[in-house]
Amino acid sequence: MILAKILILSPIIGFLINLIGGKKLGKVSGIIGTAAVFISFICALLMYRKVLSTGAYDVPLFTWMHISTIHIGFNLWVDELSTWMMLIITGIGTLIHLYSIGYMSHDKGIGRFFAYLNLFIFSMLMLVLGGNFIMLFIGWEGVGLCSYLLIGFWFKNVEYGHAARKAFIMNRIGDLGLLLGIFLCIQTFGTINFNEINSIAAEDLALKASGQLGLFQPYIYTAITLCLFIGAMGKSAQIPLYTWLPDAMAGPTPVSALIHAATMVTAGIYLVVRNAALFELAPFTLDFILVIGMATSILGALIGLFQNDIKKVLAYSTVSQLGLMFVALGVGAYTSAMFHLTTHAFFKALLFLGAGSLIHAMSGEQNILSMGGLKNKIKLTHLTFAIGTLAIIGAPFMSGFFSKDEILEKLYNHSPIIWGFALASAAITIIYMVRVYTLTFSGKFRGTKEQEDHLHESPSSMTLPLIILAILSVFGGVLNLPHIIGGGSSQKMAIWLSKINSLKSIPAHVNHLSHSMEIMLMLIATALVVVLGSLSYFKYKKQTLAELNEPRQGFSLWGEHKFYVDELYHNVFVKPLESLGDFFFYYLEHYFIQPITFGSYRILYSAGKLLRIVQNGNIEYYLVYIAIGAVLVLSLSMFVF
Amino acid sequence: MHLILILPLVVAIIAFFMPHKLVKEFSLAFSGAFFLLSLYVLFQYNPLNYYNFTYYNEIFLAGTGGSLHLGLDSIGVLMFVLTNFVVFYVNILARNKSYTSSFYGCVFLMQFALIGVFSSLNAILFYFFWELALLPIYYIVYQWGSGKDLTKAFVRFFVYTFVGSLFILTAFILFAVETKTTSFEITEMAKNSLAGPTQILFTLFLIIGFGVKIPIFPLHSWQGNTYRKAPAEGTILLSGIMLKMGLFGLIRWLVPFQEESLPIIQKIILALAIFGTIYGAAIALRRNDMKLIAAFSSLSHVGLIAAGIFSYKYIGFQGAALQMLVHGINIVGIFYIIDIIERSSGTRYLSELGGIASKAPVFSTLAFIIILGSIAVPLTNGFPGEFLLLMSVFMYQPILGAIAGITIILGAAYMLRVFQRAFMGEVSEHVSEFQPVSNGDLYALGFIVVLVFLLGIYPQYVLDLTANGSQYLTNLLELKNN
Repeated sequence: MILAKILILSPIIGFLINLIGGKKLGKVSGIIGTAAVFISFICALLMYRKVLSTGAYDVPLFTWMHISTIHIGFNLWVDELSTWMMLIITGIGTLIHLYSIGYMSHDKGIGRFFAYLNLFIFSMLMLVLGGNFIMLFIGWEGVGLCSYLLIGFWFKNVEYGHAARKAFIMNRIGDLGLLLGIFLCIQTFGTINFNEINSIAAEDLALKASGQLGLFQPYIYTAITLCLFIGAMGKSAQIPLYTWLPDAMAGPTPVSALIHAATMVTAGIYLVVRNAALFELAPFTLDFILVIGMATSILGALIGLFQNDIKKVLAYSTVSQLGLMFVALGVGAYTSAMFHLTTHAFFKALLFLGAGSLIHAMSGEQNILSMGGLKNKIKLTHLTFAIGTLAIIGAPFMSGFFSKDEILEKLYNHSPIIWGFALASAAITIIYMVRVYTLTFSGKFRGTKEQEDHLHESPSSMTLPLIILAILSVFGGVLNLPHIIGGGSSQKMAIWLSKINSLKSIPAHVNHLSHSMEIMLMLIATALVVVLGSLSYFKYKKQTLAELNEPRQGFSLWGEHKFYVDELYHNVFVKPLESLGDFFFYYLEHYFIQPITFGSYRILYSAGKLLRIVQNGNIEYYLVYIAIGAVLVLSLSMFVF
Repeated sequence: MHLILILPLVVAIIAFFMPHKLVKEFSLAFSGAFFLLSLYVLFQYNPLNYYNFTYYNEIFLAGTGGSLHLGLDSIGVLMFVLTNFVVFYVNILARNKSYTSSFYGCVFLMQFALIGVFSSLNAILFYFFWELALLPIYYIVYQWGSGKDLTKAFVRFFVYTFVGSLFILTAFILFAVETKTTSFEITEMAKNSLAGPTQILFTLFLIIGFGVKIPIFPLHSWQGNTYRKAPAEGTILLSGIMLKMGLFGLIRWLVPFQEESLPIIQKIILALAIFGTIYGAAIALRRNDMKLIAAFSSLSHVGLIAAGIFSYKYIGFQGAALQMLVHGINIVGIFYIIDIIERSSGTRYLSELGGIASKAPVFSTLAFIIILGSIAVPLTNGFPGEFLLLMSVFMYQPILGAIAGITIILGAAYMLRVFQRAFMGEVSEHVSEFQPVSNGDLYALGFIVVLVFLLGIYPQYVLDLTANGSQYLTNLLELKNN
């Protein structure tokens, strides 16, 4: 109990100290901020041990609201899933805080930065620890707010402000979906507590499995889960609500690593896994998730292929990888999605932090066309970035290999066609990641002379997190090794997570692929990495600056412009809405609302005469009557006292 | 009860005749004392049944035709506290200006009338206080307003709200004539019931009368221009507390008399209120004058409150009561912020602003938190009420609820636009000579920020207070409709 309270309070205390201390604290603020999250990490570890030995437990804090029979409490629910997420959030959170001490050391607003970062950790913990939908929603909007604050951290830049606002508003679209889902839950189940909802869903699952009529109509589950998934789309940047994430790269790079790669954007996956039993009852929604996830995965990868800003490439890669996780959810492979979420948190945080170190070394340059040949200049960053690249493309025995392979295997089991699409997405991932790596580190340096002179390796507070994340990216696969390596028992993570309430009730998919098939799939994936990886490496290595700067044409030009989706949204949604506001203001107000005023006024004028409330319809007389009345009543009341 | 009602009147009379030099401090001190007194009343208050006004149930005026009663029910007590809060803030803000004694006299006279409105248990008494509350604000707007076409805006405001009020009186008279009742006491009136066309007429008249004040779309045309032309103190009074008179009127004088559920009227009003919610937000998206944005955001917010009331559900009444209080607090904060900006930089137009955050970081932080409250981020005070109201509308009709929900997206869009244009970005020409914000103003905003968090983290305090009242209304409606 006390552990959970410390876990939650520590970042909020860090936030308050840094907010109030502000500029006075200077560099100390970084240490305070990091320590606050590290304390939470220790708590998370201890809580993990406790859950391991005694199982899940509830931490009630206080009542937020009673609505007739519905009780909404501030309850923390500590179970296998929330501890897992907690460890990722506070663990990677600590590393990124540590990294930020070095990265933000020259920034005047460092106190504000760590304050926001701590507030984010607090909100994210609320999100994953909340025992009911309202708690989750509080965290959900809280992380959205922190994301807004951190994207717009350099607030003097108007464009960054736009990006921040776009992120917040797009998230709010999703939040509305989530809110409606919560209303539906209250209406249907009379509760918003996850455990109660999950046990109702479990009961219904059992009934339907035995051929009986369930508790609720299928369309109700479809409606609820679709609403929840709209929320997930917003937060986890899925089609059509993905365009905010690449723009969110306006924030400082550690923010991109923590919020827009490792933690916040995975909240959508968490939401689905937390309510997996509900989604199991809505096959239509699962299919829908599958389609959206697949489309997002391929679109994100395609756009990433044509971007030149290193952070933009990584952002689209995140969109694509999140899509892949949703694909896994769509076929009911919940633990596989969580596994990929975990390894992705490792290697994508690593890649972003590596990119940050790179940008630091290049004096703020983000365009990969102006880099090149950095292999020998910043060795440690190069090595760790290379490991990150290998992990994300799924090179054999790296963490990404196992997690991606597990999803591919589940997809093949579901349908070979879907497997084919996912493989295509993975193939594009290989090409764009190798492209980024090659253009950055191989070949000749293409930047300015000043940049070359200024090249330097980052301080150790920045490289240490890189090293730790690199180790995790290599060995993260042992968390959940495939069947062929150690049989069923090697899937430690799947076993750990299968104890949570929402997954317990779902019948395990028994029909595993045969071992030979499994090996076959692995070999195909490996062959793809080797062939495409080496092909694109040699292609991009040879390219000269002139070739790279050639204007794009046709399809790739479209890709460079992100298929004009932003422009489409602007013209289809934003502009009409603004014009509607203008129409309301300039036309409706003038030609409709105001005539009503005077029309009704005239009608009353005559109505007043008809009803003979007063003999004279004159305004002055009304005033006189009121004044006389006031004087009368007042003098009478004075008399009575 | 006598005391808390009569004291503002006494202070008002004194203030009218005080020398201009002293009146500022005098008024500030008394309004502060009244606010503390109202908090004392709040903490002493024991929420009982809706019509069981035991805490303050005294005969105000003994006459031959019965007696006039005053009393505060649990929603009334909230509005009573809000009245004192708003008047206190008006006095705090007025410190920075040079007003004559008659201004302060008007403010306290209005406080007197507003307390009367929220505590009248007699329809005629209610109407008397209602009209009395309008007179000072007319004077304030006309005397201290600014901008061109002030007279035109004033006349529109005056005629419109005055005519609107007459609908209320007409409805009450209609009720009396139809039911042949001799008493306008609410407890007596509740024993009678209307039927058929008279019921419809009664309902419509009250909706129009209160709807003008709230205002419900399309009765809002007086609002925008009046807010723009009125002095900041007048705008705060109008938006902070006077529009709650209308919402309160609906709860006190309309809902208990809904004999048949009148589903068609209910549907139409709900649809209008929700349309107004979206309408106000859409207009606020692109305006340049911050006061105009605040005016239309207010239209948007109160539309949702009205929709919650007209969904005739327990959660709707609870949400409405809470949100009436919260909207009062936040809109005072917003207009206060606009006034600070206007005083410090000389403009309140977004196109001329920018970069205030660089000049006044503490002020900007406070302003940001109040804006968060206004866009209903969880753990700020705007969220619990909005949650309940949206849920209530959703339970009434899911599609309407989903449409009303769009306001949480638009609300974020226009409010963040204001923050971004005024506070973020490069320092604009006007802002470059931004006067430092005084400590007094910062404390005043700081207190609102405290309220933003308190009511956001623990809304149950208010909800417990109003639970009986809302339950009573719900039961009444269920009883009558079955």
